[in-house]
Amino acid sequence: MRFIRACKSEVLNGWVATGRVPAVCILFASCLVLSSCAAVRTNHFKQFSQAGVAYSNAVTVLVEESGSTAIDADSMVLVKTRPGLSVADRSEAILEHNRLLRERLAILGDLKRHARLLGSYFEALGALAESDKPSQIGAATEGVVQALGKLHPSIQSAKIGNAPVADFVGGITKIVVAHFKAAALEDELKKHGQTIERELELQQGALRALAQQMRTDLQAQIQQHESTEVVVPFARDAPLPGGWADDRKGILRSQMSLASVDAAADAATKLKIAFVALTEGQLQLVDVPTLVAEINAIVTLIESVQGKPSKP
Amino acid sequence: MTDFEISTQTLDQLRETFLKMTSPEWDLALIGKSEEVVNGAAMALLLVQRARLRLENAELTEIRDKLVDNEKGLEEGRTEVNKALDRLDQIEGALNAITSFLAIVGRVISLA
Repeated sequence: MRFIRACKSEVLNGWVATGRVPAVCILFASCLVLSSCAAVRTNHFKQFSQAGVAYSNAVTVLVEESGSTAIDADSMVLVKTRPGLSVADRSEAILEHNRLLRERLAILGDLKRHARLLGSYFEALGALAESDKPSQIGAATEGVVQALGKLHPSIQSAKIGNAPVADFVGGITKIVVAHFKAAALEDELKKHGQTIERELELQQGALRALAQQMRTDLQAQIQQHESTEVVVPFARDAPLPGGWADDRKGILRSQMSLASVDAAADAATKLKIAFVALTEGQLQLVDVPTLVAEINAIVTLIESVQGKPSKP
Repeated sequence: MTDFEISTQTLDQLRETFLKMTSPEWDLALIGKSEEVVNGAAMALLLVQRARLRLENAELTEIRDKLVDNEKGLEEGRTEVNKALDRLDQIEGALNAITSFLAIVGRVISLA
């Protein structure tokens, strides 16, 4: 009841009665301008978070694939060198290489877990940026004023300018909450901007290392396949195997899988550029949809690596 | 030269050697060579691969450890952002509760 009396106070009646409406309209117009700036900035955060989530998914795929190619390359080496080894050397080799690969897979597991954490950070950022709470809270505020209006007719019939007070209050609340959202995002950028910058630098290093390892593993397998299926059979005196020409064509065309690895190494650099643009309020200069599409394309290319020739 | 630079250079050389020893040119060069030479080349390739695995694992371990060090900041950021979302949820929840309460008050008053 006290709340109802407060709403009936001179503040509301005074504004309407004493001609302060124009000042209120100016205030409302100013809020609208600020609201549109906040909306642009919030949209930047939303776009950046989309790029971040796409990147985290791509890293997970790359890490998974790098483990598989490492195992395949090592198997190729073991099979190739086996005829020249004694039983003791073979036993020692298989045990030691299995141990090293298990160690590799454990490290890659940690990198995947970390990529998922990074992805969940970007998802949270995106959820806040995309949140429809300003509209929902604005509507809830209108609901309160309308409920008050049912209790007291003077509230129901009150207007700000020509707008019913419920609509006016709801509109202002929407703007205020949108600002709260934008301020929360900017606050996050200030508090953890350095963490994200460091993260993206480390990601650049991680992707570069993974890409180099994967490139070597893939290239070695492609070379060995070329050697055993095409070059050495051609050099020897024995008749060529059936399908030799098709094998040769497939091998010569397989350079595409190496290009996908090189593209993957660029993903972290591109995301870092987008982040720097976000911190400087220049994200509109970055074509974020294209960046997201490029990162997603990397996933497709990396997955196509699974079709690489794997015979040692 | 720093340890990192030495390690990187060693790894680059190992990779280069590894690719040479798995190339068609290398296999062609071994054709017609004695069993001793061929077996020696096989053992050399195995040792190069083993050294490569070890150094690459060490490289990834170092990167992984630095990423893990950065996780606290990421977790904090995620928590803060989720708190901001929760605050918005609470505001909406409180306003909806007030509306429901006022509706009840309205029914009581009208009955009176």
